[in-house]
Amino acid sequence: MARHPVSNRLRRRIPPLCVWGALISSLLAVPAFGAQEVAEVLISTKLEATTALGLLISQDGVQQVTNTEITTSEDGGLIVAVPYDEDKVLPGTLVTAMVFGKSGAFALGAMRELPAKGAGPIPAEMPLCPEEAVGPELSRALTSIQKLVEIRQKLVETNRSRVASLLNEELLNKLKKLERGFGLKYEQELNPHMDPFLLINRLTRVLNALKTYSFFKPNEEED
Amino acid sequence: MASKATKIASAWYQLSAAVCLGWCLYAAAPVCGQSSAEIPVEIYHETPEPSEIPPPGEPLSINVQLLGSRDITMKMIAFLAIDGQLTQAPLENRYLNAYDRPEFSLKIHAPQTEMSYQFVLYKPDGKALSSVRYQLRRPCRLNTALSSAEEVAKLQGEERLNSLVVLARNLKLHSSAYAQAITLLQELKEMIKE
Repeated sequence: MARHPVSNRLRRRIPPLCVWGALISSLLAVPAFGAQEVAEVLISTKLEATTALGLLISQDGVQQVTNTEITTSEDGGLIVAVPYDEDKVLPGTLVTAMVFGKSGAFALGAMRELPAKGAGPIPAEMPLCPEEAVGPELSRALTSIQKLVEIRQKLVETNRSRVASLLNEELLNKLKKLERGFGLKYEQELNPHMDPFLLINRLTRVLNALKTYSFFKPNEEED
Repeated sequence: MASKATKIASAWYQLSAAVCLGWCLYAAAPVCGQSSAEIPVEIYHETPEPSEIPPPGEPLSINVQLLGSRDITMKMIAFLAIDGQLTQAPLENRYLNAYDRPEFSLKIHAPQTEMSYQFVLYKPDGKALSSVRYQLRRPCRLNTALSSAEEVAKLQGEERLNSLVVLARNLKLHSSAYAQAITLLQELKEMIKE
């Protein structure tokens, strides 16, 4: 039985097509294997770091990364670049880093989640939001805005002095003791004159630690 | 002939058994006493959209619901990384919401840049149920630094107006942060007293 000429030609072309197809798909697949990404970790410290250690924390345990790179951040802190293999980390893996000084002192960086596969790196320092220009309708309200600034300045001063009087020496010492007890380490000592955003962060952490302690306490008593 | 009849009867028996088993599993589990068909407890939470995240330091409420249970005695804890700092906090105000589901809530302050969190529910059988990890991330960092009045006074026209508007906004944020610090200090004072 004679074969159709078209099907014969097709039959001859199929093997080279398969080879090309396999070659192209293998080339496309190459970046998916062993894709190296870098996670940046910000460490607010004045420490003169000599070495840094990256830590990848997942349900499988803690993986140490030694081939890190240290740079300085805009605010004088440190940024540690931690390389990792995108295909070898589990989803939801956390990354952090430690820097060590000559005297053996160390500082721990921020804890952050690795971005989803293919999402690209997330820089440690986020760009500042652009400030929107005021519309022409507000230009007539300059005096009112100045008055508003004055009122708010007074309000900030009142609240600041209220914080200073509440956070007296006795309470301050107790809170410092609690911070040490719960293992909350910072470079800056707790004080009423610190940045209010940092202050609420510190106070919230102590309060949460106390609440968590009480939360588990009844269970221990029952046992 | 007899063997053919036996084969038909056997096939019919097998088919009936399979249909009965399928019905028991999917349609009438309680009737058949299939406890495996009980609805499992699930942790339900919706993360706020980036545009819904309040300015840095402002109060942020996180609400979680339980699906498949009406038990309000179960305890839940959240593991949070707010701006890279780890903390854990128990969730409070356990009650049944409008959908008859136990609802837990946690009041924290909005992060400067990002936060991730995960919930762990402690079930009465002693087992713990973890949620997925949720993540909030701002597209950019708000500059909350306060410029001095002298600096602003040196400026003229539109530039001065823009600086004053930013200063007014940041003063409001600072005032709110101090107000929150006052609340936190009062709460801490009470707790330490005990």
